[in-house]
Amino acid sequence: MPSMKSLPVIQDEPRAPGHRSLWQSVEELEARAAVSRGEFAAGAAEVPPELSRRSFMQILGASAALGGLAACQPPREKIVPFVHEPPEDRPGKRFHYATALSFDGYATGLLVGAADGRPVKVEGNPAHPASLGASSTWEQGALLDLYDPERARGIWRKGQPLSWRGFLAEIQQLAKVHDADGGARLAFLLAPDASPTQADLLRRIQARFPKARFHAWAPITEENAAEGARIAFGRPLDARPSLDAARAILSLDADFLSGHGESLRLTREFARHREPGAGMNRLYVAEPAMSLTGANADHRFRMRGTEVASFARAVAVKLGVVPIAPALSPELALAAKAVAADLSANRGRSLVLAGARQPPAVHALAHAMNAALGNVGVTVTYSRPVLGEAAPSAASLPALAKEIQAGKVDTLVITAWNPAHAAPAGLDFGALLAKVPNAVYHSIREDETSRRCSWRVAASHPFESWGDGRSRGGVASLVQPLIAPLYESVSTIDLLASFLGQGDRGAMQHVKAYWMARSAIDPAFFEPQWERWLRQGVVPGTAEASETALVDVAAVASSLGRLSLPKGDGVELAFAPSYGLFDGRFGTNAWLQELPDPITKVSWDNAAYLSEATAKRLGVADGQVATLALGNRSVQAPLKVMPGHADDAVTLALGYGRSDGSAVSKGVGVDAYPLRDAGAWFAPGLSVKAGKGKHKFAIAQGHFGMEGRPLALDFTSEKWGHAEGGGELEHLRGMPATLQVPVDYSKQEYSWGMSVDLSRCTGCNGCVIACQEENNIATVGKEQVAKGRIMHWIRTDRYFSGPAADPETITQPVMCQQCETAPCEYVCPVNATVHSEEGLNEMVYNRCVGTRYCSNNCPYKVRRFNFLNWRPEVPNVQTLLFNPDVTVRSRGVMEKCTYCVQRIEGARIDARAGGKKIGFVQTACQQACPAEAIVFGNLNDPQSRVRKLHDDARRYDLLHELGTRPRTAYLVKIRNPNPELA
Amino acid sequence: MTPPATAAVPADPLAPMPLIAGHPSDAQLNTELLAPIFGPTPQAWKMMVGMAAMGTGLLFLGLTVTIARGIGMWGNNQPVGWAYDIINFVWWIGIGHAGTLISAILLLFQQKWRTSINRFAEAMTIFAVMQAAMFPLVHTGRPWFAIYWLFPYPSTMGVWPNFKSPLIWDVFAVSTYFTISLLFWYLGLIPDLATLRDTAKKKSQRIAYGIFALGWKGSSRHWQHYRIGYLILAGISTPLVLSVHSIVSFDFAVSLLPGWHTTIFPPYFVAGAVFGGFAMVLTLVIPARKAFRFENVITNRHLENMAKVMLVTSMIVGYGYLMENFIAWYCGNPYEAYLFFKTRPFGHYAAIYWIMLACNVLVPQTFWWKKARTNVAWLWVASILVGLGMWAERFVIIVISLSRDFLPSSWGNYAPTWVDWCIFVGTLSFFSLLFLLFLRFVPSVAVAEVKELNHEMQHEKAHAGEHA
Amino acid sequence: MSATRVILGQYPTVDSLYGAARAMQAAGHSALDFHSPYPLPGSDEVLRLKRSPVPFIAGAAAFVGVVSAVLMQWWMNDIDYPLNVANRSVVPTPTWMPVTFELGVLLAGTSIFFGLMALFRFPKPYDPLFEVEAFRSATIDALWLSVSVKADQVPSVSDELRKLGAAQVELVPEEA
Repeated sequence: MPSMKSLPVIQDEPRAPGHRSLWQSVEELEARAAVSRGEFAAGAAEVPPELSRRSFMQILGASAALGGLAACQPPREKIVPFVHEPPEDRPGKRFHYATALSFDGYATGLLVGAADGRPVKVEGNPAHPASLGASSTWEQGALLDLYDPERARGIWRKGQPLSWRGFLAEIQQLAKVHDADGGARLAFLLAPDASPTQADLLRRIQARFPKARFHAWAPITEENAAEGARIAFGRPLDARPSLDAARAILSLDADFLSGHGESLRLTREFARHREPGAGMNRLYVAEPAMSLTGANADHRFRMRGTEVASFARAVAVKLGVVPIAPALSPELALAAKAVAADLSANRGRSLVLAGARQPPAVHALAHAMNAALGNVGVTVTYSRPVLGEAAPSAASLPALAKEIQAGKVDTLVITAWNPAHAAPAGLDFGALLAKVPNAVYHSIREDETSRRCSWRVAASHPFESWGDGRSRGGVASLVQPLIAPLYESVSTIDLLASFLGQGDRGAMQHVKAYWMARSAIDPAFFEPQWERWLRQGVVPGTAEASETALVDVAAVASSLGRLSLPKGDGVELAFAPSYGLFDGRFGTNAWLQELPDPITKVSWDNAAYLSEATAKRLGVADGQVATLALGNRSVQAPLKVMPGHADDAVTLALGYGRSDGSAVSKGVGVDAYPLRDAGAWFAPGLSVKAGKGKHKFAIAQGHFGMEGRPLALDFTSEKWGHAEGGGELEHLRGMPATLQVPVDYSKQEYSWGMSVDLSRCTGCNGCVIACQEENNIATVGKEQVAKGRIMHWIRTDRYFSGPAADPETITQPVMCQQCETAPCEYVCPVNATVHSEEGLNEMVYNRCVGTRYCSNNCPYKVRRFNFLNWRPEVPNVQTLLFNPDVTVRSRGVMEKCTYCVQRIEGARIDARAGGKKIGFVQTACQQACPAEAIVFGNLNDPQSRVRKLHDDARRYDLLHELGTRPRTAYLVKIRNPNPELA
Repeated sequence: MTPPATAAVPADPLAPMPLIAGHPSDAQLNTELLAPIFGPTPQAWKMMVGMAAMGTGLLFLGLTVTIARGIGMWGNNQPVGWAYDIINFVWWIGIGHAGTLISAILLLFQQKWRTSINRFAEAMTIFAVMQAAMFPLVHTGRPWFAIYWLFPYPSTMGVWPNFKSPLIWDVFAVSTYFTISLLFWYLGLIPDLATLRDTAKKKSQRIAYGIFALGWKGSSRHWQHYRIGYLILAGISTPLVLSVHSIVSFDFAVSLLPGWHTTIFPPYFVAGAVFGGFAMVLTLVIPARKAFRFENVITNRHLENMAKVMLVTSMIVGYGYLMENFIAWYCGNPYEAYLFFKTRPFGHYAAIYWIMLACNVLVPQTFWWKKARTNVAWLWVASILVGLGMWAERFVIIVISLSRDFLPSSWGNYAPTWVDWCIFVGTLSFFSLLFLLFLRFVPSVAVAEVKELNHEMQHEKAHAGEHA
Repeated sequence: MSATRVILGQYPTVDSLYGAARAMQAAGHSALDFHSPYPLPGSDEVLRLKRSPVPFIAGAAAFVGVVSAVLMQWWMNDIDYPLNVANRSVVPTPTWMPVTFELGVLLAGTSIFFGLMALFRFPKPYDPLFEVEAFRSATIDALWLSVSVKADQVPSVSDELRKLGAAQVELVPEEA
């Protein structure tokens, strides 16, 4: 044990990591957790005396939630409560710890803020290449999962609870049995994970059981990309796009601005080059349904998913990569020509991206085009696959099913997510699981699969467990727990280790041992390294080196030849990951369920999207419930007309229609898996029959048009030149004529303001969830959303312009504009909303009587009213989720964005303590935004970024003519269309 | 009351259709006008009271649910923060105004025909204002605080109400209006209560009415102060009634919402109030005078005059609509234009807009014809239609404007819930209940004033020569 | 000393009532009053009543209301707890008008009502007059003249009233 002497810790300023070693961090956390565990009731005496009433109540609440759960857990590191509270620690104080969250196998580095020993806010780790400080809806949402009261708990065998030790004993027995035949009857169904420690454990397990089978499986895979690389280069390689240098980008159904494991980095690189000028990039997207990336395209070509290949090929022909041009509609042919011209005009500064849904041949073709365009090494590099063995394959599940049917599997260990639910159509995997004598399901939640498995092992949340992971590109991060497991649960490493008879060693020891061995540092000197890695959140020198790879054009061409082109007519069904729930794993997350789809704004639902023309042709209407049938399989799904959707195609998002999981996930939306073959993305020959009954969607934004109002403004890059010169924005900014004597804020030390760059915003909604997490914003459920009572303080308005069949899209985040002459203030009868001398429009919750007059008079409609008590009873464990710095509002009270005033005040306190000015304050939305579209700061500081942006030529005020003088400035969106296609 | 008879009263040009039929003696008038109180309880009255009481039950059910669970039990939402609650508030307040207008303004203008209906009208005012006053309180999210935080009292928070807010103006206006109306009404009642006391045979009645009569003995020394006081009260009630509905209209005019932000609102609201109020008086008086045989004192001439007032006010209101639309077009503001030329006539709630126009502008046009003005049945139907129309007008102003404001992204519609309906039906019933009780236990016609009027008229007849 | 008693005389017409009153005044009885179901035109002159103070009361109250309203709003929003509300200026504003007006009206109105109550010495549900059953007609259809005289004058004045055409004359019993 190192001494307990206290050192500075990483504090509110994520960009300035401190020097505190992890040990003490963890022990301190564990100490708090320990206090909260009944087992350590004696230790409660050691709770620091200055512990505030509030945090004491929190611990009390926790104890209630956790009482008696300490009985059996994997052994943890020695827990030593503070004897002397370190001076820098005080109740409610925020500490940030670097960790990582793996999503579909790839890790994203995070800094998780903990107050009073409980994680309360997730931020991106600026030092991590896949995060760069930003975070997506899914990383943010992970926190809600942590405190989900419906999480699985304990270890169960055939309905009987098992202690951890009991479990280990049982596994020992099993292992011995399997030793006999070298594990011939042992199989693993694993979730994709690039964790080196895990890979190491698996290797050792394989060594012990040479005949055991290891299947990596997930409902959504990138096999096509891998296969495409194999075709093009003769070996599997990961392609790593880099948009910094790219001036012309062609996305072949690649939704790289969302979902993709590197979408945060790519969004940042993309957004950085959306400002007018020479460096501005141009994005072409060919896709069936409007995706987030498509919505941000300068030119979007809508086509059925299977037609993308032909389009790609047409472009390739123009680039002289392959011969034989395919048959294409005249306008698509024209488009292909223009795109090819633009790409080759930007040789070495262009990029072709193929989407995970496209067949290998298209990926191969993309590689070939990039090679031909001389982009390799500039806008795209290749490296050894990071997942390697752990790369999931859709075929693995049917293969495993065969083995089970053949009775070749006695013990099956499942860490993959919910195979019984997401299994391919026709494969009743749930029933098969019942056949396996020992099916061990390791999951964070009871779900469709766990009901069918004889063994259920509750999984610890990533914020509760030790581990490691690798980002795309291979950079490794260590995963450290923020809090002791809230429920009796086991980490994946502990579970796997138990098959090596090392289950009681503790995950941390495994991880540490692995890295000690790998780093080959003398153990005596390893400790400081280890602590630095933990503090920084990344392990240096772990990135995969880029490799030179030569494209085998002949192979590409022949693979294209083998590609079956779509039959002429008939409707094609396309599957897509959902923006909220991905493949369904987030179905139990109320934040993500309620988050409106970025394109259609549908909340708490998925729907069969199709174009207006197709709907007409099929004689169906928006909102109708229709039967979607592929051959003899069919599902009932509500139809929704989506502007810009390809004709003769229907898109159905995966991840909904769960029959289990939790009260949140059950029965929301339509399950698409019964229609889906293993790994299939596009299915021809769909029949759509309108049934009876209309479906009631909960749509957060019903109206799509701007009605010609100057709200979310955009200019084309060449028009912008004139607009700027002609001062077209002058009448939309500056001080409007007024009779009042304006209050002078220039004398103030601080005058807070914000700017939102519409050119950068991609509409990813990351800010929405970040705000919800930071400000304790309630979810209200589908019925209330449908009634128009969604509570989000910041929303991304999305408007379509141009033809409904093929519109242009613009997204506009709208939060409280902090008007200097706020219309909400003068109508409040009780002075519950007034102005601070620093220019904030303050909301005094405990003074509010709820007349709703302020909301009526708010032209931006950013105020939210607690029509009911949205939290009738909060499970104790969920009280741990609340940000202690933000009031939890009850019913009858109006609430709204405050520019994260709690963060401003927090910074002020620290500044005062340090006797300096408030430096750098970030709002939650700004911090999460991968596009750096939201900037907040002090307008009275001439050096501040926000000040410069307020003076930017593109700046305008929303509804300026009303004279509200908003503190939030918008910067017009600049589109960069190709003149040839204009 | 009228000013001292020394102020010469012009001879009535409409002699053939008298304000009081026949030449009844004071005693006759007395028995006739107090019959409803001393007569036996009519079955119909009992039934109506029963129904009204049940309806009132709905009101309290609705309010209980609302206060227990929250405003969310209503259909209100973002962006429609106000709906039935404030519609009912404005509607009731408006109805109240006709009462004050009849009793005060017509008194100042020496309109003698008011005499036999002003008591109805004042009672209606008070009951209507009681309904209205309920809504601003229960529409808040936390009424248990609103009930006193809205008043300037030294709170421990040290903070005071915001006198820039129209809602605070409302608090002062409505409470003042209720107080003054009540005092005005009660002052007018005192001589009649004394008459009741002295007419009553039962001791219990004598005592009860005696207490409320406060000891009135018709002394001329009292009459002197009383007359002047009553007249001044009428005098200040007149600007009061105008101010109250102007202030109610400020709730909307002061905001910046298209459809609310309109300078014409104050006069147009006042006219609308009088319009709807007179309609309500007719709706109530026509059955009442039939039931209690008041045809002699509430003659067709009264009904006809009210019809004329409605015709005038309806045209003022119609002009208001016209101006709103003209300005919406003339100012060239896209938000205004969209609301007035797209949303209202063709939008989600278009039906309600057209109902408003039909009931408030077309129906009263029939009153150009004496046939329509004197056809009691039609008057009654028309008055109910106008009441409906005025309710629709408030719906159009409040809900439709809110449902389509500046940012299309936040547009949304409103649909009432069962609680909304309970409260709406309930408040109508509660009003009826109060009014039925009033008819039974209080002289619904100002006896003393009718007697006085009776004498003046006979006096005029007798001395016609001298005046000529 | 001898107690004063009140004698009531009922007269058929206003003219006969006024005639009787004038005769009584001539006879030196000034404590007269009429009782009628409705105000009698000209009674003020006959009884030689002073101007009513009610208008003054109302005016004064209205003034107090207006001034206090202005002071209240000014002090509360601008002195005691000034707040920046939507950048609206804190100098006397038009937004004060409504409350100022309403408060003026409120005080004027209430003062009139309670002023009258004071002038009438109301509430006074019991009055010896009410002991006289016949007098009930005063609020129904009859005109009464009341004269208060010294106890010893009662018989003479009663006769006098009858002579002056009283339909009936009643003596109000002494206050118990």
